[in-house]
Amino acid sequence: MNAATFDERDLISRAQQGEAAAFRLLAEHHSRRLCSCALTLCRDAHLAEDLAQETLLEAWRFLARFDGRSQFSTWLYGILRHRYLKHLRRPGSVRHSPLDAIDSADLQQSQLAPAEAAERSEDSGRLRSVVSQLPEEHRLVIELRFFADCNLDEIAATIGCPLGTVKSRLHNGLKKLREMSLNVNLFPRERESIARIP
Amino acid sequence: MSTNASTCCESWGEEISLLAAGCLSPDAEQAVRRHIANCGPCQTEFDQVSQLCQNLNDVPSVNIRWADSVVANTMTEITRPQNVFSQSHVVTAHREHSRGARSELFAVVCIAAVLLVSVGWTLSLKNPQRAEIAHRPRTQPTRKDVSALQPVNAVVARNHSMPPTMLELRNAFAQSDDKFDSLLAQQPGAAFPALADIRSLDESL
Repeated sequence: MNAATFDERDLISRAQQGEAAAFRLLAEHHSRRLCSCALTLCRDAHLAEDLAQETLLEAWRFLARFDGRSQFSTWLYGILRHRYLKHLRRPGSVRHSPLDAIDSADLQQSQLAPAEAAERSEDSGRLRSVVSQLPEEHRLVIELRFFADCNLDEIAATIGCPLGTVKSRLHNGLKKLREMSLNVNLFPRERESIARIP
Repeated sequence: MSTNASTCCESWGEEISLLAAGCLSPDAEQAVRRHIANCGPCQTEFDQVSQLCQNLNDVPSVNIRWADSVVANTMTEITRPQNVFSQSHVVTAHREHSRGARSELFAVVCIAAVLLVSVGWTLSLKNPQRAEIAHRPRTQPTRKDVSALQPVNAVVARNHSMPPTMLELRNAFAQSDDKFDSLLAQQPGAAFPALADIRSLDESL
């Protein structure tokens, strides 16, 4: 949906008056990133699906409370975070390991030539694996920024931290990731170029 | 690199990472780019972080095939008849209304309770027959005090470390003088601060 046909403010006000069709458009617009965000948080596809659905239902239920002071997506991710925390408080809830969520068949197909695509895919898989080994606080910020395509405000709402903390975690996470990717010989061409720097 | 330059570059580190990650506002981005243009180490740092961010952006995103079904299921729930979600605004309005009605009722009950208590208190004050509540004399009571005709309508349980109540003194006085004197004699001197003075006064009378 392009910007011309998608007027979020208008849709929100119509949905606030009870128009389900307007809310559907809003949900469709945000659903992919919301699901991706839920998957990053909980790392379990079934749970992420439930969390995303609960988030949308709760958003519909309490839409009257949305006052437009923040972005709609930020508000939505705040609800998602609350749902996730509620899930964690339930007895018997488990945290999943980072790689549980991703099946290679789920990764989007590349448009490159087969040989290059295979090489890229291998590098990407290794990079994902390195990211998953980062400390939780850094992993979340990096994955939300680069894999779920969230902006800083959305990340702050999702993980429940001030904006400054998100910035410093992103910086420190990238720093750690660079060290780790050099250690595991990821992207050898870059390593050579870095080694040439006096 | 001098120490000053190193400190300066350290302070730019976070901004450089944010620029590489595409998270800076246009104004902040301009400022960082101006610095990078004049600082070799920061330029190198930026190139490296940019390359890493590029690699991260190139990681194929996970194809969340169930995103559409999430929306479809949500809309089914919302539009289902006799579902709480389909009545969100009405439910909210109803809750607001009932919350308001509850607080009004609470206020009325509070006001009624305050009125009842104040009316009862006023009536009891005006009643000439109101009995004096049993009290413990603060000084040594005289026989005159004890034999007064004012009614006493409460008895407080007594242990031996406490001074007797007026009712207990009256009962003892009614039975015999000896009992009254022995009851007073059981009390330690500190129970009645002016004991000695009153005894002497009583004797002189």
